[in-house]
Amino acid sequence: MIALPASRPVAPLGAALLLLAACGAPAPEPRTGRAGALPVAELLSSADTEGFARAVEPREFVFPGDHGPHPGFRTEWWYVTGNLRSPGGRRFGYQVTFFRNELTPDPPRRASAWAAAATWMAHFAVVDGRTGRFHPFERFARGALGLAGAAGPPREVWLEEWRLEHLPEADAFRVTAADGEVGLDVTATPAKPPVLQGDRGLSPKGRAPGNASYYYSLTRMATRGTLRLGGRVFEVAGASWMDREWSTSALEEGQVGWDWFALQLADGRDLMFYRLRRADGTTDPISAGSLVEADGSARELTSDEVRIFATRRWTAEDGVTYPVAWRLEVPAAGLDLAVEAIADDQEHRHTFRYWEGAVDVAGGGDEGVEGVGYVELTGYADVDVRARADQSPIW
Amino acid sequence: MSGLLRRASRRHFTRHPWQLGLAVLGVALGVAVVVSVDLANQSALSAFRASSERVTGRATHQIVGGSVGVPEETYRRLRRDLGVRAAAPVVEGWVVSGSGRVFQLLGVDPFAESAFRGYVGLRGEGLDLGAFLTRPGAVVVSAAAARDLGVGIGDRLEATAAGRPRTLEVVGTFAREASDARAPGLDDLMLADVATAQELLESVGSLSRIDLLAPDTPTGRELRRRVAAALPGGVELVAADARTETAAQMTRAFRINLQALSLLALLCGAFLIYNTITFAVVQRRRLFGILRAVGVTRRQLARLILGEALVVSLAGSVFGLALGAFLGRILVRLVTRTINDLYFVLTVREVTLPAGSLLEGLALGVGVSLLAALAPAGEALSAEAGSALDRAELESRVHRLLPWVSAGGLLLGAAGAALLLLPGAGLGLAFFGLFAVLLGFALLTPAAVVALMALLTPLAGLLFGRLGRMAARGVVTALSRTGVAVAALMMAVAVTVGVDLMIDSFRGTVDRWLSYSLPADLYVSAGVRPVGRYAGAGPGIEPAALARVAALPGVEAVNSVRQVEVESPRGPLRLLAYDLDARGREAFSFAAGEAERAWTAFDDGAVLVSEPLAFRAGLGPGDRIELSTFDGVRSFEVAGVTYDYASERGAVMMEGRRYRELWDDPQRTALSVYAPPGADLRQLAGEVRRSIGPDRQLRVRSNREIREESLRVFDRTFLVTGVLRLLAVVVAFVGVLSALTALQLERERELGVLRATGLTPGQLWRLVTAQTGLMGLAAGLLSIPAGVAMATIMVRVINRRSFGWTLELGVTPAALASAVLLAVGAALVAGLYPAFKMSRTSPAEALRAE
Repeated sequence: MIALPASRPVAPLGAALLLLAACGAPAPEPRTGRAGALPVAELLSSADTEGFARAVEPREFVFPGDHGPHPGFRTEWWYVTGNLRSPGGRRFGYQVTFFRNELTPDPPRRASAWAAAATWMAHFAVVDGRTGRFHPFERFARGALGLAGAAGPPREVWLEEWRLEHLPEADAFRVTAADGEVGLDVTATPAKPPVLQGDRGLSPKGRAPGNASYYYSLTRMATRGTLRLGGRVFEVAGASWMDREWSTSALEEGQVGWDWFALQLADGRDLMFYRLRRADGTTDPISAGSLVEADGSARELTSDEVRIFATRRWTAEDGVTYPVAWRLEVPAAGLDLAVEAIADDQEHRHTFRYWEGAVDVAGGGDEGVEGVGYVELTGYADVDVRARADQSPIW
Repeated sequence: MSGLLRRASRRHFTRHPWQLGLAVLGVALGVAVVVSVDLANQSALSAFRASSERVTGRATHQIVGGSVGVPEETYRRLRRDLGVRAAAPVVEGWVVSGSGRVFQLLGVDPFAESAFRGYVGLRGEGLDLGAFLTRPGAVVVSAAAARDLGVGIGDRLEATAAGRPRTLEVVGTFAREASDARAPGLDDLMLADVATAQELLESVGSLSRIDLLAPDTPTGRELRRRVAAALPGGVELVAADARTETAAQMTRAFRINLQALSLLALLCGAFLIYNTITFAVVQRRRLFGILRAVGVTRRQLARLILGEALVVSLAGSVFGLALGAFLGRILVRLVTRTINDLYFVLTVREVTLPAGSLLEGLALGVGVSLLAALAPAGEALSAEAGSALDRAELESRVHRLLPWVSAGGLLLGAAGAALLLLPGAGLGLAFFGLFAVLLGFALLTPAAVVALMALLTPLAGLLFGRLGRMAARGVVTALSRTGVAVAALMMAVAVTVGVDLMIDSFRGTVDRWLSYSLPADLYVSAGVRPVGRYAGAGPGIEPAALARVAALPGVEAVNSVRQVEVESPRGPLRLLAYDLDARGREAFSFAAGEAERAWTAFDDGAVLVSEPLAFRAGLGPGDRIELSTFDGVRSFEVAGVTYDYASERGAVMMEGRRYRELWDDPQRTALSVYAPPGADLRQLAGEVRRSIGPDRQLRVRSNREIREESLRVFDRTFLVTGVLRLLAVVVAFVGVLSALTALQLERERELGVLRATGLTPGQLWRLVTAQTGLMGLAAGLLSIPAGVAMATIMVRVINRRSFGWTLELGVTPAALASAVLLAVGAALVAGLYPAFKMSRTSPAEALRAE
């Protein structure tokens, strides 16, 4: 998967600037629409990569070491999403993500403990399938003074009290995040080995050499813990997905955003596919994915093996439209899936504007598999209205 | 009929334009002084509030630890372990650019700022936040400041911070919209990352404070409780506005003093108005008599006179407002400089013209004028139909009233004195008392003039013969005019004398104090100006450097002091931690407490407090004072109160070892170095400088240099007072001029008779001049007791209530003699024109009407 602030070191920084500019509100207003949003494509288009490490050729992955940070690359993220249920059957989705952004390839030596070479951004969201209410949060901190950072072993990343820890004995992960009335504390145990995406973990994002990332996924993690919402504490269980990616790359000319699908099917298979969208509405052929069998074996999916149709759209108050239901076909794998968001409004409207939501999968086609998953949609808020009007209802 | 009245009044004033002009000028000057002082005060205050606002932002509370700061660990704990979201770290200090411009350096964490200082619209003007965070010395200034400094984004800027030369890099400017009305004063702000600010200000490891958003809601109160419980010793949670107000209050006494002085100028102006209106009435007594005869009612006449006063005062006030706005621009510079010298760094870039001040000036001008016109209006009311209000009758009435006026004066003076002696009364009441005493003197003036003239008649006769005696008697016979003129002049000169004596006493006291409190040969300070509430402890002189200085061959002994701000339940206090030997101790003189016992207690951990603090906090020997140390709030015994004129805020003094135990801060802010007699101090200064460190900005000065510099600052501080005093004299001078002109013009006929009986123009000129001289002399002589009384009140009561200092009242004969000379001189100059005019009177012209 490609996550958000995929490039320019100023991406989250620029974001912080906007926060500063957002005077008046004691905290960034989560529902202000465009004012707080950055044109992601613009942010990701030009990038000063000078001096940073690049993902040029496949490398050897070592675990749990690679769960920790990879300094030298400009961007790195830990992306955990999951679908959970309470014993009473109440359906929830959650997202906890940490982004590390290196500010400079060669930080000067400085006396102050506040001097930072990296900044961190974290997003935390919980969606309640029963009420359809979405609770997103965003935080920034410098990677200094213990305010945010990565450490280990045992490996952990944190931003203030939000934390993702690797538990070496169980080889599991503990995810904790809270803000006000919403809190999450779950442990996710991988049921399959890490899947190296792309070519042995080297995932190209464009045609230029080095415009690629190192990318692995833990596609299915048995998850158990507690979720706090609206003054109640729920015992929850379900499945999580973790994407890990580090790179010094950017969206190429002509790319405007991406749609990312991470689906966990009832038959034990997991499907990941990212579709890089171009300004003209077409799919960049470099888009790719993977299909992981129940036994953990995986094979790469190319863009011509996967067909996606939007079947329903949802429009935010200010007119920005996202697809929220799809037909997803992988004929070679015998999959014909109906994917639909469990709540339409799962849009983050903080510094970055994007849609990241829990979805249900209903089986179509021959076998009728069901499942759950997460979908990420970026680059929709920045396309101007005319371009959107020109888009055909089906891609 | 009212149209007729208006025309009559208009014609009168068009025929006497001088009279009208002087009246308008008097009101204008009085109003101008009041308005300009108000503007200067308001501008300084709003600049201060804006600078507080821009650094406090929306924070409701602050976590502070005095100038030793808040350990940065505290912030991590709040943010990470306690999950406190609405908290922002701040490192504050001062940076001086190579060109000498002073910037307030504000070190912030951009990721924690959004809730606090929203004005920092960093978005604009190409700021590279990556550079802001990672480059050492990266700062952001306003676009205007960058223009002034001649730097662009990416340029280097040489500056001094924490006493060391530094190279800064301008990585961005505030967005243009940030310089709008919501955030004035950004031009003196320099923004940097917390890390950069810590490095520049040499305060790595600590924060100046942590801003907190904890509004008065159940959640906010709960947050405050949680935070307060988690703070280490010496660190406290305080309300943000209370802190700003404390600092604003520091200058309150200073501002009130200026305001009161400006009101004195207005008071002189009121005399002038009274005089002018009265004269305008008396001059037209025949006209009023005729008007009464043709059916004009008393009410109409009174309305006419008050209407005239209203028009004159409105014109004067409007003119005064304009003049005041202009004067205010000059005064604001003087006021700001004084605040900078006495209190904290403050830059006033805009003179605000608050509508309130202008309205107030207008109301004062018009109100005082109408009040002053009440008496003449009453005079006109008593005019009988057909008959003129007889001049002689008026005079005899004045003489009949004289005992009552004098009794009133005595009563007012006594009331004023009682007000001044009232224990525990505030500064405002003290000024009321002062005004009452001065007015009392003014009311006593006519009686005193009568008595003085009785005494002076033989003398005048001796000097000028018959003409002299005539002149002296003339002053008494025209008492209704001369009394007021002399009183106005007396008031103005008394203000001059009073202010002069007060400044002299103050200066003398400070000079004496400096002479014994600077016993060492050289004084070395770490070069950072004390800057009031924002003062960081600042980098000091390391113990090792102190040892090196002490070991220099030409050094007999070294004493040292550490100056820091510490928190206390009373707000931040200045703490001086002294390491003193016997010689150093002789520099202290005790206002309360016995020296030997006090020093013994001092060595055992008691503290001394300086007089201003003792006065303000009501502390005396044996009392206790609480200070926040690293181990929590500790209570200290006050062993004595020392005289100290260095700071209006006052200070707590503690033994050095004790301080280092409690605050764990081994540095020194200043050293005093004793050399053997005959040592080459210049050479020694160089050696001291070298042994402390070549890259440090040190100020090494001899005791004489410090003394001279202190007195220079002192004189600069009182410059604004001097200007106000001068303005009062100008107002009074205009008053005397108009009174004398009126008086002499009124006596046209009398003087015509004298000319007709053979007085030559030269003799007449001498007569008039002798008369004005006598009036000036009377005013001068009477101003001596009034001025001394005023000086006494200012030194003993007002200064004490404002600042808490004990000053020795010094009355110099020179000041008194110059008062008499000033009065006589002013009167003679003011009398020149009327004397000239009178001497040119043709007797036939003057007598034609008879």
